[in-house]
Formats: sequence, C-alpha cells, structure tokens
Amino acid sequence: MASIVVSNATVDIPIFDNTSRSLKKAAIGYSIGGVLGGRDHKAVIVRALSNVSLDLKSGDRLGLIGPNGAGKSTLLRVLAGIYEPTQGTVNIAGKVAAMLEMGLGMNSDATGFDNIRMGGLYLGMSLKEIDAKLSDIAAFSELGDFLNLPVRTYSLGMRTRLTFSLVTSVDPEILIIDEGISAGDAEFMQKAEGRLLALVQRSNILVLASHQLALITELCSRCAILKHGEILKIGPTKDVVEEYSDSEQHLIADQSELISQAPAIEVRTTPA
Amino acid sequence: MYQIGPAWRDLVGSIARWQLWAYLGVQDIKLRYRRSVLGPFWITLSMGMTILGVGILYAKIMHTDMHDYFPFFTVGFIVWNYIASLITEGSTVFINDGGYIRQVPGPLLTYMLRSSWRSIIIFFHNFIIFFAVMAYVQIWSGWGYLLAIAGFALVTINCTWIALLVGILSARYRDIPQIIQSLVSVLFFLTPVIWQSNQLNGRFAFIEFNPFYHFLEVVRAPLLNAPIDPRSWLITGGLAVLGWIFALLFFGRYRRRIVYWV
Repeated sequence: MASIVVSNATVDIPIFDNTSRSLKKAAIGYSIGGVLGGRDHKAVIVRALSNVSLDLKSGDRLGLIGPNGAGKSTLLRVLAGIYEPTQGTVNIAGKVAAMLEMGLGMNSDATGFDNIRMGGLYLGMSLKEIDAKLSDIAAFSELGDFLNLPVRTYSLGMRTRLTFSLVTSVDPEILIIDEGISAGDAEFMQKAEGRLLALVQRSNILVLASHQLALITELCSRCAILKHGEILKIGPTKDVVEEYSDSEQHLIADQSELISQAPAIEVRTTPA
Repeated sequence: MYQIGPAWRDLVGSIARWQLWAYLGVQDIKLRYRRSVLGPFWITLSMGMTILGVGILYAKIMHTDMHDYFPFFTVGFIVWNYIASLITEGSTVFINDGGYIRQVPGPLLTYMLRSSWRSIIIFFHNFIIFFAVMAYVQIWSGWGYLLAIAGFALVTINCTWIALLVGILSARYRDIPQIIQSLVSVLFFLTPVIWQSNQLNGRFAFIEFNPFYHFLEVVRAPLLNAPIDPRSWLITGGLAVLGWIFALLFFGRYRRRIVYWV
C-alpha cells in the first residue's frame, strides 16, 4: 500500500552567491572568529515550506493550487523524496514517479530511442520493462523513423511528444506531476488527455500542482491551497477550488496583496 | 548527526540501480566521441603516444634499461590516469548532475557509480597499450594477473570513497574541484610513476606515507611480475574499509543537504 506521511515539514533553501560559496571566505571567517568575515557566512535563506503536515493514502488524488512562489514545487519535491525537509519528517512508501519538468533527461545528441531508454531508467523502469513498452511509446509519439535520429533534429513539439509518451508509460504507485503537461499540437492534445487519465487511474496516489483549476477539479478528490509555504486550506476539491477562485478575484482587486505574494526571504546563518 | 544507516541504504539502493548508471556511463562515452571514427580509442592513441615518447626519453635520462623501464612506466601511467580520472571526475559529479538530483527521486550515489564506471571503461580502452608493450618486452605474469584484478578492484573502491568525499565538499565549496585538480597533478610527480622508488635514497616519506604509491603498487607489481611489499596490500585494503566507513559517515551527515547545494 502506498502512503505518504508528512509531519511539520519545513524547508529552508540556502541561496549561495559566489562569495558565500567560496572556501576562502569560509576559511577567513573561521580564522578571525567570524567577526569581519561574518557577513560572508550568511547565505540568503528562503523558507519555501513552513510547518506543513499531510497524510496521503492509497486512492488519494491531491491537487495543489496557489500563487507563483507559494511552495507548490517545493512541496512536490518533498513528497517525491527529493528534498528532505530541514525540520519535520516525511515517510514515503511506494514507488515514486515524479514529472517536475518536461524534457527531463533529454540528451539532444542521443537518438530518440536512446533518450527513451535513458529517461525510462531515470523514471525507475528496468531495461526489460522499457523494451516491452518501447513499441507503445514509439507508436504513441507518432515520431516513426525520427526516433533513430538525434533529438537535436526535433522540433519543440516533437520533443514534447517524445517526453509525454515516455513519462505517461510508467506504472508508479505514487505519481507526482508539476503543471505544464502540455503536449504539442491540438490533435495530439486530445489523444494525450486520454493517456494522462489512464496513467492517473493506474497510480495509487496522485499529487498534481497546477494553475488550471479545471484540470484539478477533473483529476483530484482533495485539494490544498498553498501560500507563503503554508497550507491555507485543505479539503474536498469542489469546496477548496470555489473558495480559491473567490479569493483570487478578491486578490486581483487588492493590489497590495499581490505584492505580498512573494515568498518570505530572511537572512540567517547557513545551516550547513 | 553522523549516522551510517541512511548512507548505507543509499549505497545499496544505488548499486541496485546498476542498469541506470551502467547505461548512462556507456552513453556518456558514446556521446563524448560521437561522429568520431576512432571514438574512445583516441584516448588510447594519445596515451600510447605519450607513453612511447616519455618512455623512451626517461629511460635515456635515467640511464635505465628500456626493457625494465618501459613496462614500468606504461602500467604506472595507465593506472595513475585511472586514479586521477576517478578522483577529478568524482569531484564534479554532484555539481554536473545537479539537474537530475533536483528532478529525479532516488539514491544519490547512483551518480557517483556512473562516474566511476565511466573511468573503468576508459581504463580498459587504455589497457590495450599494456598488452602491446607486454608482447614487445615478452613478460608473462601468470597468476599475477589474478592478483592485479584484486588490486584493481581495491584501487577502484579506494578512489571512489575519495571521490565521494571531495564530491560532497565540492558541491558545497566550488573551489574544491580546482584544488583537487592541482593536487592530483602535483601528486603525479611526487608518486613513483615516472621515477622508480629505488632511485630515491633515504627520503622514504614520499613513498611510505603516500597512499597513492601503494594503490599503484598493488596493480603494477603483479602485472610486471615484480616483488611487492606486503604492506602495500595491507594499506590499500585497510584504507578501502576505513575510508568507506569515514566517507559513509560524512555522506550520511550531509546527504540530505546536497540537493540544496547543487
């Protein structure tokens, strides 16, 4: 049974510039007791997620909505096991497939087929599984003989077709998708939607972050609003989405609110 | 917290993903030499020319017999290049694969194994030179080859923990890769690769306390059918165990931070 339990997770992301990453500065800072060099000891730290708790069980389909920089992508990375929170704990049980960026693992000098194999391995498939699915992936992408050519010869739309066909062929227990699953031309989009739905149906847990409220409503049973790295509200999709669209209209009316949407940045001593 | 458990699980999980790192390692080399006729054999060719040129010159400078010096330098140089590539490429692993580390869930040492595997493949391309030289000087080591394989495995294990340590430090401090580069080139001259240990009278520190000397010896001596100080085996084996314990403790401490650094 797949499950994800997040309790009181906080994620602080240090942003190093060139000075604070240099060993010289660290050494100087150390030798003079961190007084003069003290300024360089500090990195800008973005608190991307603050005290988030979540409990996902098999069958859960969670949608994440919220303004830009609300911490959606960070939370997805925590749920995928990529970010281990600075404070709090995460327990993930089940095979995870994460689609955080389109075009992941694409090597433009390698052929389409090689990219399918590499990408499939990254997504956690074995070469045997990939070979079993190869003809299906190739057929769905409709790229034909182009799959024998280096990916750099592809148009943007062709690349998207290839990535989409590949990532939707996995059989994960936990599926984590960041927005932007667009799939090329209109005809392909229609075909793609069915395939995406099938993928969602065969995974146990889905977490989807998107700005398209319609997509969230269609795919998700639960929904959470994120803002400033905190979960503002979580509940049945219909209620949450309604509240969010109301508040969004409210936000547009209130310009000052828009400015405060930027994530909180604080300067503190680097944790490591 | 210096705990070894999570680091150990990362290592085991990474080894289990052998299909991924093995495939990526091969792809790395294929792509590096795509559209080139000789492909990775360019490394072999250029190394062969270096060995030929330097071998002849230094045998003359040091007034040693070509039949002694040439195989000595060949093996030493090939093994040294292997050690150097394991360590220098290892130091940039987390930095170069940062894009994947931030996108793909999974154990981090996968990327370290990919880099080590790449170095192993290149080593065996270069090893062709060894056979050519051995055929020329007519040395046959018999059982020594088996010992050399054990030595090679120990050297790989050792250099991979060193790569892991410098890789973690490099992810955090971006000056480290440059420091490692220069250290490795200095060590090349301080370690008996070009010169032989018996040419050094009295100053044993360069040899006895230089772990890289012992790393070289456990591969070089058996291949050349030469006598070897048992201490070289002891030191190389001991360092493999102690080094990995230390590296895993260190990795366990900072593993979760790496994704935020790259």
